[in-house]
Amino acid sequence: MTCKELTEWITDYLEGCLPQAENERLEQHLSDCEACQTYLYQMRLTMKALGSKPRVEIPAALESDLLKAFRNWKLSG
Amino acid sequence: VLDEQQLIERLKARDEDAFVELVERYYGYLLPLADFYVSDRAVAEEVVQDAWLAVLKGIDRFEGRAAFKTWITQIVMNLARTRGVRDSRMVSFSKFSDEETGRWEPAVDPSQFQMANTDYPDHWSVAPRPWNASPESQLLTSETMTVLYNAVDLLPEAQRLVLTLRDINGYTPEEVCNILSITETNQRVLLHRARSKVRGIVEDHYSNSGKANRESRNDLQGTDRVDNGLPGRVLAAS
Repeated sequence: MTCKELTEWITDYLEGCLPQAENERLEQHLSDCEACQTYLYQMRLTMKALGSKPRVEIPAALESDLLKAFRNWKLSG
Repeated sequence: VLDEQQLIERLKARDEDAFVELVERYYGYLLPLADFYVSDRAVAEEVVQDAWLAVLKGIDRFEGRAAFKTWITQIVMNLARTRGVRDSRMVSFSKFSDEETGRWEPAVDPSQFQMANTDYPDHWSVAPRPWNASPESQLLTSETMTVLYNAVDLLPEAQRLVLTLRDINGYTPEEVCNILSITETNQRVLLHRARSKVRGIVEDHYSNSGKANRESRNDLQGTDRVDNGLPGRVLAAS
């Protein structure tokens, strides 16, 4: 496997979708290639950082409109 | 932290705090979904608002046979599509998905690999460098995080939505395929391209900010070491 191939297969690898033979080739390549280890690490870091993106704040006006609607709904039974 | 089932039971009991918690918890997920189908942000916000009104109207009949997430997703998608048509936007996710997956795009700029006539064709010519301030650190700097989050906004629409659902909102591949009515393969291709692009933008940020540093230390270039901050020639066996 070349480094270029690894960069194309990496999502399938991370998703656990690579056929076993390709999976083994990829891991073999990784064990020999420091640069691709860094690449894999960067991909994992990217995913981790995206997962820790702060929650998008709801605009105050929208939240306040929704609260009014909730209170009306509650009153109406 | 209350789990979703508890929040829904409390919402049925007219608990305001539970409603607020659900609205806030779901906003970052529902807004990008609505955003995809309608022409502007204000309309997308209205779609989210209307979806919650529909939830209030229907919550007493919601028996939890399907997940709440699936239910509210369907409501938002239906409302957003209707609004999209009314705004003459008429978009379908599959159209964008087909356009974005239909042509070949490399995950990494081909110039970063060695040419066919070299000793190691298709192996790195410019190796990726670690992004951390120190190898022990598991964290990116806040500046890098900003670059990374901004990179998401630059993605083509279908890629952005899939990445937002998967990596930012934590949805499973199956959930994303169901929500967007796409095949698992297309979902994976869109995710792959999105993640590769975001990684590439962060890498560019490092290359540009490290250029001055590299230029002043170019006596070390051309070695086969891949040091932090120094692009080296990599001699890797396949």
